[in-house]
Amino acid sequence: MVSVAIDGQGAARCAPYVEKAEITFPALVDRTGELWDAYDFKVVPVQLFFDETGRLVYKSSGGPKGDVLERLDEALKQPPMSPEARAVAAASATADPPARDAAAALFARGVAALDAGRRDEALSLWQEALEQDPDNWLIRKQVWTLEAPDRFWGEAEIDYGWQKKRMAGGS
Amino acid sequence: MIAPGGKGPHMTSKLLPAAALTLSLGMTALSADARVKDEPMDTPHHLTDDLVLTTMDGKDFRLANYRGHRVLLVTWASW
Repeated sequence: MVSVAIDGQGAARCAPYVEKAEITFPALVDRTGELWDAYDFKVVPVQLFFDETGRLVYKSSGGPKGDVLERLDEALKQPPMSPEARAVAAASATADPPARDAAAALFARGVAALDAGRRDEALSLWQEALEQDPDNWLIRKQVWTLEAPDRFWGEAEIDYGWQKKRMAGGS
Repeated sequence: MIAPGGKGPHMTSKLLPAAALTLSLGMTALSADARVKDEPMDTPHHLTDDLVLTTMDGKDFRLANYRGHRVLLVTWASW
């Protein structure tokens, strides 16, 4: 099992939470949207389960289900891929990576701008990414984190009331 | 738990902490995030060799390291 933090602002933002959780499995960060672009998700939390052949057999969004283990076991019972399907999968795994989704590409450029200390540019790139993919909560909420970091990582808890007001205001 | 270069697939009974982590770190209050949903596997996806994530100390980490193992990726966010 591996945990992956979705965080354009990098490990510095999420490392304190990882330490606090005292997890015993690897903790990684997806800064530039590699994972959500590759596996088509736009919210957190999402769970992805791959079998020994590398096939994605289970994808679930939202919080943990009643019996996660049962669902994972069930997912492993899918019939094995046909030799043809396996060949296609093997080819796609080693082929040139597909062009990135436009929104993800803009988001990644924003991360680079952030690293170069250009916060305003990062914000406008992330806003542009959101315009390309308005349903993407991963982008939307990270735009908010740049606009108002204190609402997320201030003295108090995350300010969900503020988020609801943002949504009600259409932004 | 499966570690890079580990000894092969482990039983799913070791996977329970995923639920705890998701609860403590991943849940957000807005409805679009909190909706629970199993998704149909209509598009075949695979662990791709070119996907690079980073470790907490900033090193590159390739998911291809897990090839040959069962892998449960649990995503979360601090925001």
